[in-house]
Amino acid sequence: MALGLKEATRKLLDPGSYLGWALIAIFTLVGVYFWAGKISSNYPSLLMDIMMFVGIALSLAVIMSFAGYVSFGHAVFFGLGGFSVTIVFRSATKGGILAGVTSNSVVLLVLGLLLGIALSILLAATVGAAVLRLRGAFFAIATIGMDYVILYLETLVGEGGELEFNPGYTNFLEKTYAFFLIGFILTFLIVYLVRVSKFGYGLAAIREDEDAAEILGVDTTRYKIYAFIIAAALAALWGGLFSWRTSSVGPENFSLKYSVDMIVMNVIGGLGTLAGPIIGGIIYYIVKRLTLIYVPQLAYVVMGVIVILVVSFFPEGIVGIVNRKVKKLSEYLI
Amino acid sequence: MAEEILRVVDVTKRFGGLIALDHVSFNVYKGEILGLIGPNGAGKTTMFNVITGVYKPEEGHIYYKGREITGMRPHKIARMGISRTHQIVKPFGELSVLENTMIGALFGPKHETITEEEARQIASEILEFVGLADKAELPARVLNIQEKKRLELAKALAQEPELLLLDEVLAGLNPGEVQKMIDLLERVRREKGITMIMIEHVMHAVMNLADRIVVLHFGRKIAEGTPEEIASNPEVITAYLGDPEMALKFVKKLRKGGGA
Repeated sequence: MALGLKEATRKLLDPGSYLGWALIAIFTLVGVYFWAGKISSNYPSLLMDIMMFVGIALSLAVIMSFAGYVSFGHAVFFGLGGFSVTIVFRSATKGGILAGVTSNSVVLLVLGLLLGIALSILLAATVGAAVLRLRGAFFAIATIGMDYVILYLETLVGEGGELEFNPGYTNFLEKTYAFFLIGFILTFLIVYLVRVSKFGYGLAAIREDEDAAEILGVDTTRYKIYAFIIAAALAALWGGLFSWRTSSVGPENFSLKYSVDMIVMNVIGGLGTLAGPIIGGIIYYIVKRLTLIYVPQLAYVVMGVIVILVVSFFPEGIVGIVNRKVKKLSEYLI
Repeated sequence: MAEEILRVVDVTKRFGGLIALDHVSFNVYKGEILGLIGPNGAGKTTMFNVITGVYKPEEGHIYYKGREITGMRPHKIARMGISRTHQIVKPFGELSVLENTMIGALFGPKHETITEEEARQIASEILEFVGLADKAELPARVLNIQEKKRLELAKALAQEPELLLLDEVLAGLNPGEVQKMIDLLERVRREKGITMIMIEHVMHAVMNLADRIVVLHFGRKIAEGTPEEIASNPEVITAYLGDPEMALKFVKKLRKGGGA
């Protein structure tokens, strides 16, 4: 599954990567103006939302869209990331185990992110070994169990309330934008390389016919667990960044609703592709934002209708339709 | 006799109370085509599933090139050089015909060293070989049954196997297509020198292609020999009489001169 450095570098210049690079260019450009103090935080805030939505959609895509295993438990990893960052920051205040060790918020954030990623990898590996034996709806239902079990952490958070922390507010938004941008670049690079590597071919084979894949030499058990672990680690990264941004973690971070949102982004965008979660994430965000502004009571109704329409009439999602209608674009929307 | 490539020793496979394979033993020699025949439910596909690691036998052993492979995971066995096609075709529907074939090459015996470019090259050559080159960019799901059968063969061949298991590659094809597929299998033998075990109900094909034949009936091996020997074996004919249509075909072939 290893992708040589030379091959990886070459792949990063393939047309399939252009969409991601274009977004990174836009995000970076806006960032440069923002860090130079030339624009207000309005656009950067909006772009951070988009980075996160696309980031979590991409993370889920590795297991759901590439390997065909629809996980309803993805918010568990997102929540675990947020929980870890929160715990690290709180333990650095007086009386905590990190008190006096460091109060540098960047160091604490990185520690928190690493903790969240490590816990998520551990959870994904153990739970994955069990539930990835299941197929289709049975796998999906088993992952709902993860959502329930993790609610235990809520008892630590306390009475449905939020656990807050102080990230240190000097240049907070500027720093946050930089972290989000780094997170986005990392996520895109990892998911893109999964998509175009031999590993990605193996996952696609698993998605299309797992038994045939195994017979053809794909180590399906190992590939599925690797995919689950990568997806979990990236979700934890975004959960951690999100908690940093809101300086808190709450039960909602772990909720089944978040898991479903991530699935919806992938479905709208188009399954089996890299462009799907990117475009799906952006469209999901735009629709949600606009409906919340103009028809707040109907926000979920609109989203629901969109999901029903897409699944009923365009099951291949937006990217699928575009690629079918405009053949030339399929080189870019891989 | 030539070098032995596969040895099946006393293999028994049960499903609950049903004995699908009952102490079956046979050898396969390098370069030959071994026909595996028998009425429906005889255990032929089960035998393939045991050889490729899909099922673990309750008893017995399977040796490939002298090494025991009994109970190994299917992907490991594939990587050692045993490939198969499925009776019910298993294309990766949304992937292109080329990608389907590339996956065969990428995960076969050369999986550790092969690059994507090499896999693409091998896949293109194989698609040319099986006559699907003009469909390379189409999603596999749009192929017709005959083309899907060819794709099964292409995926298996792209692995560059030493032993190829063919599970009814002729089933569901019309007479013209059957002849084309037989020609293709002849070419696989002639040009690639791959050892094959073929499960087949189309008798004249097995009789023409196979060097030797093993007959299974209710999970037991009832005969083994050259096509001529099998065609005149009374036990085999009796077994097929349980399946009147098949028996009729069989007897017809006999009258035509043993199919040899």
